[in-house]
Amino acid sequence: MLDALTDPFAGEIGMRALAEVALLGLVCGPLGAWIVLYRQSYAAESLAHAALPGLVLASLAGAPLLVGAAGGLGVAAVAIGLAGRERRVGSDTAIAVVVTTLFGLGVMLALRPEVPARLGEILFGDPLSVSGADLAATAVLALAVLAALGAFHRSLSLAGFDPQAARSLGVRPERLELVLLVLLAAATLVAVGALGNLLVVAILLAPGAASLRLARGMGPSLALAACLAVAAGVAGLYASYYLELAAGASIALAAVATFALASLVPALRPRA
Amino acid sequence: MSALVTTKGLRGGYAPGTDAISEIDLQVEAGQIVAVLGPNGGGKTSFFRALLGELPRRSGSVEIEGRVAYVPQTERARLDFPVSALDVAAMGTYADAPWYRRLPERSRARASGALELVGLQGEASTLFGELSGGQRQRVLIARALAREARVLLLDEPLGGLDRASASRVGRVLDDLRATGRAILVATHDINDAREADRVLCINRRQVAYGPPEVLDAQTLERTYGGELITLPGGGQAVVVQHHSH
Repeated sequence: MLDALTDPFAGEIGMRALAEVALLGLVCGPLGAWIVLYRQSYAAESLAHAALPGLVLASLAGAPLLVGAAGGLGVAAVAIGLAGRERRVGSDTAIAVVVTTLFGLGVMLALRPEVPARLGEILFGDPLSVSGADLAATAVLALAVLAALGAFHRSLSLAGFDPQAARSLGVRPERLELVLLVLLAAATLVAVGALGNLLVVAILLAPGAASLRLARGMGPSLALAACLAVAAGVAGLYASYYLELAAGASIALAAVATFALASLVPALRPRA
Repeated sequence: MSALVTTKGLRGGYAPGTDAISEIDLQVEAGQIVAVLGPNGGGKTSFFRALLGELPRRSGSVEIEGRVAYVPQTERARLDFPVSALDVAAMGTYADAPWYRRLPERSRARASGALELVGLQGEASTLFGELSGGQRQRVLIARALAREARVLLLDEPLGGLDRASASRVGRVLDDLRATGRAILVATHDINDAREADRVLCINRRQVAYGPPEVLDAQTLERTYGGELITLPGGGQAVVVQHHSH
């Protein structure tokens, strides 16, 4: 029995993958809960998908995907930020046009014959291909995002709960939305390598949304979101090992399963 | 008695060339409740924003003794946010420490004490969204008290409350008046305004300010214009057109 539990992580590749998904779960879970609370889920999906051209260009140039993701996210953030100001057609429509354009550009670049056969890795990720350098980068950025979430906790709570009165209590809500988007970009940057451009949204949003259905209070919700995201990552690795499934997709499905299960057990939340 | 709020010729606004409020002259003493009466879009919230320093001021002056706190309508707050009554009250103490530092224990104690003042110490761990409308209003008042504010600005605190809840909130306001705070209450309700110590009638500009006796038919007509209707029997009421801010 013990062997069955440890076999997937016996080798160096498995151990690195385990460490990677644990780090990603610790940061993406609580961050996802904030994103859901701030109703920024669409921005999360947009940001991840709009980074595709940067990822493909990095692949073409033989550069690390992390570098491509950083460039792609920078361009996407500026484009989404500008589109978000569009009032005539509505910010949602403008952002959708920008994201579709960037995603289409990414696919067009990715289908060029000179692109190495890494499109699948870019779109769907592969935590089993994580290198030591990738893991170190994930650890640094994950710690930075967690530290920022801790430091901004009070301000995020106040601005999200009562934006109308926040300013009179010394907090500017629009700044906190920007902080959240920057943290989202940082988390997407590290998670996109392991989970891919299409699937990263699952680990970012599903555990956070599930925790908000199950837990009472902000602290328990954030802690549970981290636990669910880590659990989804580990469960996905087991499924990948024993069922011979793609690891990134398995983790994404496990993350979505946490939300599905949370929807089935509302009775866990005792009512006053 | 000392004046906690003094405005002289206050004029301000956001849009170029258009004043949201003008000619506001008033003096609010410690221990007074002032009803701010006016139609939707008449400048009640803008006046509060001016007192908070958030409305660009074009002329005139504002002087406030001590801290000022804004108590919004409860439906403006997010009921699905997983924060307890104590968490919300503690938000009033956030200025005690920089954003990156832990709140000192005395801040939490002050928030707890504020909940006790509004009679909600037993609901400290209840989620804000699970409280009744009247309890939520009292929690937001507790947040203002935790801020140690001497001047409270309440935006339609009795709106949407049943008679019992409104009465409970009213008693809390009376208790606060007795502690020497100045309380300004934006309201549509002419009868509520008649219970206050002073009434400010506002429709973009100050129509009247004084004791409740200023609320005669002519003042109400100038304040509300077409929104004022006369009821059978001679009473007057205001047709409230709800709008989003």
